[in-house]
Amino acid sequence: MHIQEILNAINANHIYEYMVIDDTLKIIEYSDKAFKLCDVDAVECDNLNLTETVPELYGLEEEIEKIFKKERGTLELPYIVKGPGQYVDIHIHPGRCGGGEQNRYETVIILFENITAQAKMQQNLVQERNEKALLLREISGKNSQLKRFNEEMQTLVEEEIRKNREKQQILEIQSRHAQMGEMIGMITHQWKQPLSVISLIANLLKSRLEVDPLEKELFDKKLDDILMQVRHMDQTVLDFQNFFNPLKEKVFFTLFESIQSVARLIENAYRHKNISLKIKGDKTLSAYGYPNEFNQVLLSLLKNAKDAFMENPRDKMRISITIAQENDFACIRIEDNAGGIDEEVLDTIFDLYVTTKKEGSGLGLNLAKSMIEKNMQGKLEAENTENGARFSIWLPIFS
Amino acid sequence: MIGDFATGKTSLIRRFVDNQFSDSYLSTIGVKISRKNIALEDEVVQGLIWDIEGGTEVKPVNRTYLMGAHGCIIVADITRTETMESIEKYIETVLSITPSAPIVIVLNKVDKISREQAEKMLSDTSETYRQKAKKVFLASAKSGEGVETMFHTLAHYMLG
Repeated sequence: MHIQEILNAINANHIYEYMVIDDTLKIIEYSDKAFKLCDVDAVECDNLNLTETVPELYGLEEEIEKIFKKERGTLELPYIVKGPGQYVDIHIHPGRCGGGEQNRYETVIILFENITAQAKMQQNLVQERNEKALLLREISGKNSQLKRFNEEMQTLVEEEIRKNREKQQILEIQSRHAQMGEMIGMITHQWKQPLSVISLIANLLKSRLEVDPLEKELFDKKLDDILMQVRHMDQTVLDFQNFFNPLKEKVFFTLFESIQSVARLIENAYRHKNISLKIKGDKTLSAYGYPNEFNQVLLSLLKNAKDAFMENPRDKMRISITIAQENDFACIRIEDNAGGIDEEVLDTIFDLYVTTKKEGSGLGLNLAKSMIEKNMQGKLEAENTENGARFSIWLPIFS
Repeated sequence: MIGDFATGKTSLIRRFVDNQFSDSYLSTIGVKISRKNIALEDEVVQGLIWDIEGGTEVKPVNRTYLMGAHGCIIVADITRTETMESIEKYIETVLSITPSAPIVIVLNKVDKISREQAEKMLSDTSETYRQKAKKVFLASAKSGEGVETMFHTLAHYMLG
């Protein structure tokens, strides 16, 4: 097709504007509106240079020369902004073949295609895509922040848990020391009687020895008495030892025996204060847990009951301990008639530092609950009865 | 001027050419050419600044736009690490099309972070691209910080 026919066709379909340039880049032909696109007045259009008129082609002289030299087919510059909101595609094509030179075109055609409508659609798509990407990035940033915040919170929580654990350990040690003090007092009570019995027997034997050194039967009996007292003292020490010997593994233990060992430690102190202690119920029932911790809890509850009686003395001071099975649990109920717990503090009685005693630390019951519930997966509850308080301990009977 | 989308290329040009700024974001598509006379020490030159559509992973920069460029500004958003990581990719593209064009890097939106952080990132980026870029700038199209200096310095490199 002849170049003029091509230009006529371009003019006819009204899609393109065009400029035709020679190999010096001078514009030699153009369509009506081509210069309007480039903001150039029609009266100034003669002899204009392409790159001065179309700045988008500045620097592309070498590429255009390649088209003249047939080293390059076409050159496309898409989506060029021309005027406010106006977009064109610039296509650069070979024009007329050279008169004498076979390897060179004589002209090159620059086509401007108005793509404003298409560009606006494209603009919307790109805008939407970019905004979505920015939003996703923002969300991802927030997520990272949240993750960092969670990690920091986790560290803080772990740190607090560690501090609490340390605090708990200190409390346990303090409580243990307090109980040891109590125990030493009880041992003193327990040992006073056998020691005075031993002392009496020794004195008796000494005086009899002076009268009749060969009274063998009497000596035998009295020595047996001494041995019995010593065994009793030995049992006291053994109970004391078991009490504070930390057992790290859970075991099955007979509740009645455990309760008895505690009762033995306190019986003299109770007798001295006229407090009666009765153990009732299933003597063979076992529980699964730490017996020494159970003993500590029991001792703490019995001591509290004794203290309650001291603050609120009455004619008949009674404590009963009942052992019974309730489903998969052994239930130990410690009930007194010391008047009960103040209703105002009943709900918080197991909280740390809550006490009803003048000299109390508020550690004992908190520690007792922690031992029963956290360490042994049991339950410890308190309630008031008609005449006093009832503490109930549930311990699992299966491992 | 090239870089990832929404790094502020159009805003930097608008600040330089018209001394204006707008916070609203309108994606550029294709390319828009602006002119600005730049007064150097002993001459005034006319700069043709090509504002090229921001690249994304799915749509890289059209190579035709870079043909014939005499200098290149690569823009990154200092608050978005992924745009900083893209700098290398743009440098390679520019060097493959117009290897003699001087390159400067601009870390835009410096008003959004602390001065200390910005200086640290400037130092790190300068060290990373010491061989391939002439200089790295901190800039803010919003406040105007660094904008004039960056264009003037690039003009010097292009003429020099």
